[in-house]
Amino acid sequence: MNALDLLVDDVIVREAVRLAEEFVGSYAELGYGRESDWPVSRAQLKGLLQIASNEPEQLVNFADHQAEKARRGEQSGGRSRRTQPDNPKEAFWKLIKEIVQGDPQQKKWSLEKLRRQYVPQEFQLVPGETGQAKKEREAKLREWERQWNREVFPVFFRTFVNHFLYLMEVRKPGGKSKDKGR
Amino acid sequence: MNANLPEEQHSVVLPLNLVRKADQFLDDETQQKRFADLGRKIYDAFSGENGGRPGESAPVSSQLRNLQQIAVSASRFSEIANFVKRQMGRTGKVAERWRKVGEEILKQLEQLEQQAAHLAADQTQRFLLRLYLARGWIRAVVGGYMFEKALREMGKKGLTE
Repeated sequence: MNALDLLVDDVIVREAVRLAEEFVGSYAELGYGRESDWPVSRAQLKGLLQIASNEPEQLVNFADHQAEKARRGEQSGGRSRRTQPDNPKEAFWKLIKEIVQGDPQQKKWSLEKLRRQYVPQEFQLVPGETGQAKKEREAKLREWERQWNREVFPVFFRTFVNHFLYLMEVRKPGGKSKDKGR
Repeated sequence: MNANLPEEQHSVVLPLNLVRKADQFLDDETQQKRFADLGRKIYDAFSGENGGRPGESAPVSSQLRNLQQIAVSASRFSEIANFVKRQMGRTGKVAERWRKVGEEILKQLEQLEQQAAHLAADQTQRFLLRLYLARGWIRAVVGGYMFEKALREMGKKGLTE
């Protein structure tokens, strides 16, 4: 057991489940009987997991791109559900971006906010430090952040996607129940 | 981990008093009945999944074996629920079978988690206790499954003899 195990079981899983529940509660309660009506396809979720595992730093770009596609689909009168307050497809990808970066006011939980809590003392930028020492510290911090993303992002998004698919499946007509699970 | 989360913690052992309390919980008659009932439900959900020749004992469900493997080897308790949800969230016949029993599995896992929180105040001990409880739980579930399997197969044999 190590510190990542504790963080995953106590924080990451809880937040991933909460955020998937919130999204499904807001956008899927109106009924997505058919998978083709879902705000996000299984193939897109697979892509999301691949990027979270292989290139977590690209997640925000990926989410922006998908949100833009969803927006264009809405404007051109695509298959979005116009009875709903927002475009669920766009909202899904905005949520992914928010999960990574947080909201502009930094009030909501995000992976980057969580990461900031764990920056080791030796990599924290020192006020007033300049020159080579500052550059070295910044480089070390970036490397530490890169490593942290590679360890934490895949676990978070795997849990998020598994919980999302589980919720969507049990809500289908003929699905087992509408009860929420852990 | 390499990413310098708070200090690495290795080789932490559960105190004996917590192990005893966990065993008491697992051995409680009501819990044993619930776990065994779940095993029976899993048998109902997955029986016939692997085929088997007439007159021969059917193989144990590979889905149950997968669940058992995860519960026994998981390094984090959350991996078990994650596995169940992944199976339930898939498409196809196997996923349909999982959806018949998945909610009950998740419910029992949640109760194990609550029990660990009730017994241990320390975060590390709680973490280990959850895994300990999961291992005891899956033993009882598999026991319930095997008992049901034996009963059904004996009954079937009895009818054909």
